[in-house]
Amino acid sequence: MMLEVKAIDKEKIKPWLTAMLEETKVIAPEQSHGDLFYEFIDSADEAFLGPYEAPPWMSIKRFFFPQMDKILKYKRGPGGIQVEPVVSEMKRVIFGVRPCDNAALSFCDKWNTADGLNDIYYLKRREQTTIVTIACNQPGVNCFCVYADAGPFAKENFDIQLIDFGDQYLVEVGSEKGKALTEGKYQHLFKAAPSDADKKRFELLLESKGMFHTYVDQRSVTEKLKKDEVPDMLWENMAKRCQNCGGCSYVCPCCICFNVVDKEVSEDEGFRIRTWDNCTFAGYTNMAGGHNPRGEKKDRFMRRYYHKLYYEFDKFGERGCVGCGRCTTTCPGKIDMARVTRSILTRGT
Amino acid sequence: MENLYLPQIAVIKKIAQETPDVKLFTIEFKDPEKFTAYKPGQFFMLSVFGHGEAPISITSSPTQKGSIEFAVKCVGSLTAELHKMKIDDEIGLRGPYGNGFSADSLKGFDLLFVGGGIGLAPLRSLINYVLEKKADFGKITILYGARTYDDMVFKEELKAGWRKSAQVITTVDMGENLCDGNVGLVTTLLPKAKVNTKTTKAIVCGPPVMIPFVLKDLTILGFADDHIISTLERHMKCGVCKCNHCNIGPKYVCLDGPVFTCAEMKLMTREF
Ligand SMILES: Cc1cc2nc3c(=O)[nH]c(=O)nc-3n(C[C@H](O)[C@H](O)[C@H](O)COP(=O)(O)OP(=O)(O)OC[C@H]3O[C@@H](n4cnc5c(N)ncnc54)[C@H](O)[C@@H]3O)c2cc1C
Ligand code: SF4
Ligand code: SF4
Ligand code: FES
Repeated sequence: MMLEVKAIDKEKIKPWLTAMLEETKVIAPEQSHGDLFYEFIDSADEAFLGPYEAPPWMSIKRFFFPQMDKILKYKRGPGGIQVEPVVSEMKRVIFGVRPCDNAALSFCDKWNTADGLNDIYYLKRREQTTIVTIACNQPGVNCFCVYADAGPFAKENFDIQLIDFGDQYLVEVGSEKGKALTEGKYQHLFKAAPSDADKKRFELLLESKGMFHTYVDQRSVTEKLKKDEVPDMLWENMAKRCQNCGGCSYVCPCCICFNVVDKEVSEDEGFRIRTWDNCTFAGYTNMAGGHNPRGEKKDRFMRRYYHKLYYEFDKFGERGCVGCGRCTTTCPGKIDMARVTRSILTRGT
Repeated sequence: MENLYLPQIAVIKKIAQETPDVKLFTIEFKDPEKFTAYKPGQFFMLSVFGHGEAPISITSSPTQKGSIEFAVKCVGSLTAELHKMKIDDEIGLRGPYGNGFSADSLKGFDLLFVGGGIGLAPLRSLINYVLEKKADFGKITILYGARTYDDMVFKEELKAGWRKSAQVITTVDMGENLCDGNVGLVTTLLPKAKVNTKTTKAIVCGPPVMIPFVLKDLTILGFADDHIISTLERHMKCGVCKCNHCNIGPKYVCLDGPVFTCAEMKLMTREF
């Protein structure tokens, strides 16, 4: 649902970011060694504002679910052990979020509130974050968000969405948090949306949708998995190429598995830390006594796809893949979401 | 908002050496207000600060108020640290988690318990519960197998306590069985138990290698799939269905289990 639609001239983006930086932390795509990353910026000049193609190398997942996150602190004292939560309190704006990453947040929101069990570490950070997405007019070569129902323009769950209209951006305000970034001291930066905004938006969306190079028919794959129609040999052959490197899940904005470990900083003090984990690791399911229900690489590999495309879809009505294409860029075995689903549909009969 | 991962501090009140590598810990919450009712078959995430958390089944009966017992086998880093702990040392507890056994669904039935190794721990919670409410249940039979006589947990109860009101037969895989002489796998006890499969519900817990064999033999004896109940174990990191480690197909052992009927387990065709 849209609260308001406005516009902003491109030359006002930097003053807007500068004003934001006066009152909050800002994360934006930043170029580093020729690659693009979402990073905290200190000045508006550091933000990379396009032209956009492939999404930044890593998703925004780490700002909500850090790769290593201290969740508890414990301390031994004369009165016994004290344990307290370590909850991050930091207001921030993430600027220039890709629609795929925004859709992945919707998915993570569902996971982190599922079964009436709320993960406060994720939700606290979520609450304190304002998301400003930039619609993609130029999808990257590995992108397939359009087939995952996640892009190239964000449909919901953003606070603000910017759409590139040439010398200005259309500004779609999606929430009260977003509204706050266009009012008060920011108000003078904005102007009314052009009168033909709807038509222009429609044309740009259509144009962008026509520019995808990667086609993935997730719906048909889900059906095939449900019916167990994919031959074992195909799984076997694909799994052989998995290096158990974990790259796919680290770059994936929808991969939410974690491990938990304690780290002592002194004899009497330490932290409980949760870290990213990966279901293609053999240790992921290893049990005391040496029994490993998914000791075979094939089972672990299948699990990744069954989980994303079938189980999660069954549970939430959403798949654990938003089509960002990052696993295509990353996987050394070339057994990424796009290629695996294509193999399943073309060879998996 | 409640913090799913924040453990409550609990204090070790008693330690008994059950076998060379299993200890029985009696635990009380430091703040007695934190004690919550639990069901047999549920588990807690037990913290040894500095060494992490592990899922451990409740082995005491829910009728035991104020304290909780855990039987823990020393198999790795956390369990080894726990085994080094002394009375009045503090640990952390989160839970209880999991569906647990539904005692109501067992009422009126004869009960056949089949346990292997440390798998007797979660069964013991239910055994002591039903023995206390004996009028609600029919004939009770307990079959237990351990690797050796030394590895038998809860020997006092197996040899004496439970025998007062239940049929108890034990076996060992190897060596001498000073309890009742039987040597062989736990499945060899099934014909000896002579239960009426129509009026009996079987409750099974043991190492992953044991369970499929027991389920198969129970089925051959004539047990219906929904009369066989088992508890499953998986690697767990959260207990609250967030970490993703414990899935069997679309089911999560921490939330949907760990107790499943054989009928439910037969639907779990995918391990992945
Ligand atoms: C629902 C449930 C109930 C359990 N109840 C009991 C019980 O009553 N008594 C008992 O002694 N044990 C029980 N276990 C097993 C117990 O959780 C593991 O033995 C324990 O986690 C091992 O921890 P560790 O740090 O000592 O071992 P580690 O040093 O971490 O590793 C030893 C081995 O245990 C495996 N392992 C590590 N973490 C886990 C984990 N979280 N879950 C399963 N395996 C793991 C490792 O992969 C490795 O193979 C239960 C497990 C589950 C899932
Ligand atoms: S990125 Fe590819 S090789 Fe690495 S774990 Fe994932 S599927 Fe396996
Ligand atoms: S599975 Fe691959 S394409 Fe899909 S969201 Fe994850 S990283 Fe992106
Ligand atoms: S133990 Fe974490 S999901 Fe079940």
